[in-house]
Formats: sequence, structure tokens, C-alpha cells
Amino acid sequence: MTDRRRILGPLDASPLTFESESVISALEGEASSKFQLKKLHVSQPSSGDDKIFVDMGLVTNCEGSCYMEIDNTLIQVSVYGPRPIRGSFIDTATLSVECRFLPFLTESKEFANGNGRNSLTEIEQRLSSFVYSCFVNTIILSKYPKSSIDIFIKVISVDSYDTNFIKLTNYLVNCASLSIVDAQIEVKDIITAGYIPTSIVTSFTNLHLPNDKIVGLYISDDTDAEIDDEKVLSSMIMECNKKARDLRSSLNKYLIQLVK
Amino acid sequence: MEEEQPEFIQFTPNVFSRIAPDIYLERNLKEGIRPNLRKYEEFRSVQVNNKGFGRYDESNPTKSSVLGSSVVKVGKTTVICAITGGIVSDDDILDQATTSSNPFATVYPLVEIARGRSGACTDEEMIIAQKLYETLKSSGIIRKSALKIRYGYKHRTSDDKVEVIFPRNGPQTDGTNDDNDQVMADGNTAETIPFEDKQYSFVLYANLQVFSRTGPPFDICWTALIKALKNTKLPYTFLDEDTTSSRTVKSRSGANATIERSQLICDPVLNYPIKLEEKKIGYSSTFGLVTIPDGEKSQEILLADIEGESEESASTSLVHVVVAGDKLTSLTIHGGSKAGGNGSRITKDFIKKSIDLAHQRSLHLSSI
Repeated sequence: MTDRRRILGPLDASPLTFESESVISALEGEASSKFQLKKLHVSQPSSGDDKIFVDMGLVTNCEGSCYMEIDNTLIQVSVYGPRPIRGSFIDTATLSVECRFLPFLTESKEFANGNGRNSLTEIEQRLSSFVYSCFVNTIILSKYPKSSIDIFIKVISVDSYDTNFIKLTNYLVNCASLSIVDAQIEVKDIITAGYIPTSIVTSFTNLHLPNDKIVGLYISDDTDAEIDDEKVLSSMIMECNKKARDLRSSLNKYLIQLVK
Repeated sequence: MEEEQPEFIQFTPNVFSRIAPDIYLERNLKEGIRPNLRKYEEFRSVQVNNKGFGRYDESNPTKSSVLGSSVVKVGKTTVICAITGGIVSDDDILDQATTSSNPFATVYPLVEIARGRSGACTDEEMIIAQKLYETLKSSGIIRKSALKIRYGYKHRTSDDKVEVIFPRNGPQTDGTNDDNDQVMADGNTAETIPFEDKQYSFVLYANLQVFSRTGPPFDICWTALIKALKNTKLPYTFLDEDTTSSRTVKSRSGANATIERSQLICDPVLNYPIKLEEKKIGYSSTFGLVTIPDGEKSQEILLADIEGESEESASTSLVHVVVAGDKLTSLTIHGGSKAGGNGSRITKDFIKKSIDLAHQRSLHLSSI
């Protein structure tokens, strides 16, 4: 079935395939001097702190929004709600999370441009459900009966999709967390996430509760490290926790500044 | 018995504009100012960011497949536009738009307006996409020849070195037929190269994301599309003999056919800017006509760059103007009616005035 609602372009168009390395690097001569070869920005997931740019409330026709830039990764989150739902009464709010990559970020085989895609891809679904599981326990849903809270995440750009997946997952949670704050939705605590490159992300809440509480744990399947051992796992979680706490303190500072 | 005084209900502007947009707008306009505190013929401020997230962005190259991008912010509304590409063989184009005799190409746009719902696209998104598609085609900004590919050829020399030969005049065609001179990357002319004469072209896709929609977003989408096209860079492409594959297909009648599939590969670094017809680049403006009752008669007011619910719902007639230089590229009139109908009457003066204003706006937009 062709999509008649959208202008998709020629059906037989093939997507652009890029060679991994420029031919000119293998050649010498005029051409290479004409084009300055810039090293592509393949940022290995750094173990240090990432520089983040944050702006809240950019989008005005939703209740809360947050925009984050981490290197070339651009994330925009809008929160709609609490808004009334139709139908019978329910005593808690329903939460939904939809994470979407802009079509050209995912390699769609069906369409050269991915423009005609309606449903979420597997990765988008996985990310959505992780963010959902982090927030479903922290938002006080019982405060908003017969309403729904919808979190829409748009990944506008991502630098090197494969290597930075964990990093992306991490910041999706953080960005969504700030947009919840912007929407002034009641939460048990603001959550932040910390990650160890290549393997795991955990999300924490850490204010009221005596211990940092884990609300979400994501272990990437292509992990290098052996985490069969309980000790290894707990040390990894400790490290994530530390990062989440660091981030939390800088976000706190940012939020306090905003109020001032 | 004393008559009870009716109670007055007071509304905040927000609520008032929702329940009675027409009265709200009328009250405002009678004061000589629009609800958004602009004058009648005043446009919103524009910010354009051409530094994008494209692959060939000089300041910040990435590995994405985006060839050109832009972010345009008008008032509170932000539009992010990304141009991506595909390759299509000229022999078997099924799409009518590319095969017709029209010498101009267009892009295939997809517009998404963030509104907190998921699912199929809305009417407005479809209409804007269609309008972008058609306006670009009719304005003649991209020639089809600008999208033609002159590919190089990657092969192994006898001493097992890999080299790529690109056409002598670069990958950009000037519309004339190819000269078959090829040049090696080191400047030597190649002797014999088994070039295929199959022709390929780029197709361009545009993805437009609209955030905080506050009024008809066509103008902003158009500006974003043009600004993104202006920094779009097309990759150098070449055929790789290693990846050329052939497979045999058996048809129903039992006959065998061999399909040779050769894929063009894009260089990750080498690129050239797309050639646009700069003179034909124009920008779009939208005007709304509002009728407000003034005693017995009614008065018509032209509002530039309409914004907000009250203006949008009260503007019974809309005029879209796209001008390039001193030439009119496109003029669309929605609504409007003869006396007694629903729409405001669109007079010659209004059209003239809107063209004049659009012209000024276009000059301003092209300067940023």
C-alpha cells in the first residue's frame, strides 16, 4: 500500500550510502589538497562529563518542554497534560511515552527517506518503554484522576547512532525529567540518569529518600564487560549513581538559577 | 420588587480569546492594536540559523545523512528543516513529477506539526507539504540538471591499489551533455574507463518539524526549506566495481533475466553545493482579512503574518504571496466572497497592498 497522504517521491529511489572513509585519504594529489580533510567527529563515548546545553519552555503549545544538546545529539521533549481523557472515570492518570527519531536518523529499508513511517521502530519502542518505566513510578499519578500525561520525545540528531546509544538513552531520561519539571507535574522526586559508556544506564531519584533509589536500569545487550558477577554489577551501578548525582546537583543549580 | 442586577463575569484575556475570538479581536483592533501587540502590518521577528547538523557542515561535520539543514524561528514558532537525499536511476523513474517535460525539480517534503498527538498526519500537514512541493516546482529554483549525477568510478589498478576517477569537470553538470573525459584524482587523464552510460539523479527529501505552532506555518516552513536548500551540499558519488552485483530472476513464464544492480556510493567528505537559481529565490508572506463591524457599516482590516487563535479564526480570507526579487512567484487566495457571503471582500487594493508588503518582507528575509 502506498501512502497517499504524504508526498514520498519516486518509489525506486535508493537511499544514499556513504563510504566509511573518504577515497581521498587513500589518494594523493590535487584533489586532497583541494578539500581539507576534516576528521569526522566520531566521539567515543567519553568517560568524563558531557557538556550539555539545556533550554526549557521553548515549545509553547504544550505544558512543559525541554531541549538538550549534548555534542551533536539533539533531543526535544514536550509534555502534554495532565489533560482530561474521554470515557469512564479512572482514579489515576495514565502516562504515555512516545520516543521518535526524525525519519532520516533511522535506516528504513522501505523508504529511502523514511518519510512514510507511522509506527515506532523497535529501538524507538525500547527507548519509549525505558523512559516510561522510569517515570511511571516517580510521577504521582494518583493526583491526576481521569487524565493523561503524554511525553513526546523527538530525537532530532544523534552523533554516531551505534556507539552512543547508551548515552542517548541516558539523556532522554534527563531531558524528559526536566520537561516534567517545566510542566509542573507533581513528582516524588526529580530523577536523573547516569551511565557507563558501552554498557548500562540507571536512573535515580535521590532527594527525599534515605537511599538513592533506582527507578530504571538499562543494560545494553552489546556490552563488552562481563556482568554476570553481582559485584561487578553493583560497582557499575555505583558509578552510574555517582554520575547521576553529579548531574543532579548541576541541574539543581540550573533550576535554582531559573527561579531567581 | 427590586430587580436583581445581572452579575458581570470577567475573563482573563486567555479565556476570553478562546470563548469569543471574534469579539476579542474586534475589541483589540478597535484600539488600533492586535492582540499580540503588533501593528496591523507588522511582521514577527525572524531568526535564522544556518549552522545545522548536516553531514557536510563545515563547522561541525557529522556522520548523519542530512545534506542541508536550517532552523528558523519566527516569533515563538520554531521550524527545523533537514534535507536528505536519495538516488534514482533516470531510466526507470515511475514518478510523474520527474519525467514530465518540466525542467525544474522539487523536493519531497514531509511536515510534522507537534501537537501532542500521534498517528496519521493532519490535513494541515498534508496541505502545507503539497504547497511546498508545488511552489518549489513552479518557482524554478532547482533545475533538474543540478541534480544529475556525474559519478566517478572506483577500481583496482594492476598493482592492487584502489583509486577513484571522477569526471574532469567535477560532478556537477551544466546541463549540456557529458563530455567523456575523465580525470584521475591525481590529475592524469585516464585512458580507458568502462563507464556505464546509465544516468542517475539525486532526489531530495525535506523533513520539517514545526514546534509551537501559533498561526498558519506555511511562511516559516517555506523560509526554512529555502534556507536549508541554500546550504545543501551534494556528495561526490562513484560506482564501486566491488559492490556491483547481478542476480538472475526467473519470471512467471519461465524466462530468465539478469538484473545488474550497481550501487552508487557517496564519498563521506567530498561534496559540492547544490546549484540553485539564486534570482528565483523568494519568500512567502501570509495576510489575513478581518471584517469588524463599525456601526452600520463594517470595516475590513488587513493583518500581516497572522498569529494566534483569535486572528486565525476571525480571518475569513487569507492571501499567501511568494515573491522573488520583483517577480511574483505564487499568489493564493483562500476564502473571500461577494458581498453578503461569509468571507471578507478582497479588493484590488488589498491584494496590491499585500504584494507590496510581501515584497518588503522578502527583501528582509533574503538579507538574513
